[in-house]
Amino acid sequence: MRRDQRVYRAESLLREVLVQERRAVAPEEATDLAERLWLRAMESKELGRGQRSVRICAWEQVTLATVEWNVEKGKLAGWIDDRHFRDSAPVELDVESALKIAAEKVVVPSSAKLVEARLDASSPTRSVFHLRWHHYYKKLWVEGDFIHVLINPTTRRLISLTRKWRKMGKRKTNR
Amino acid sequence: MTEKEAVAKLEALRAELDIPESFSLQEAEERFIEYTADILEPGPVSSARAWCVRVGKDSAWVEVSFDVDSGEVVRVMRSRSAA
Repeated sequence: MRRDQRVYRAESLLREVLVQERRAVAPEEATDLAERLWLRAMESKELGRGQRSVRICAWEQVTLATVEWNVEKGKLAGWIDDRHFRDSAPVELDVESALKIAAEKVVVPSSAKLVEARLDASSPTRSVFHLRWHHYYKKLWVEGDFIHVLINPTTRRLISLTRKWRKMGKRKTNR
Repeated sequence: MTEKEAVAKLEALRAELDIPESFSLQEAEERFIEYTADILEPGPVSSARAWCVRVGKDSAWVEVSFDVDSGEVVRVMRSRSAA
């Protein structure tokens, strides 16, 4: 399909309409919607009498997520989903509740020791509750191994999980 | 290797490892560590049960790790101000 100025104009018009519609129902989502929209004209045809029809597919970026995995074992090493940062006001969350929320998604080995449990409210719009465990083997600290979980204290959902946990007893590892 | 032996070995290696005499013992801990042949380069990582002995002065420090089994130095880390 030939992409001429009329197709670009049609995409631009649709973008404006979609942002306006969103502003009417959810103004907070409309602020950056124009940047999160991906539009692509799939079909364009003349209708006569100076009119043209353009069929456009629209995608909305819901979130920006990062996933890390161990390329050797194919296991998930960590993830962060920006969407869950939203509405994270600095509300109180006790440690017990935070541990309960984390336990729904994270398997914490018995060799783990909780070393950090605190609310970081330094940002009024992006406050997070941190939970961090360190790895202990034969009562000794396994330096570098940890599980770190971020929780949105308002929605009580996990924002991210980062995990590095060695299998002890193995002499050599490649990272 | 015991904690005492690790501390004594660090004292014996001060000149070789370029550790100032003014740096005093801050901490000695037995733990599992990871190390590479060159700490600044990516590469195969080895694990060891080690005595990690830290000496320092003010915010500057040097930490020397000794393999518990062999007694060899496997890792030397320095704070930026001690580099």
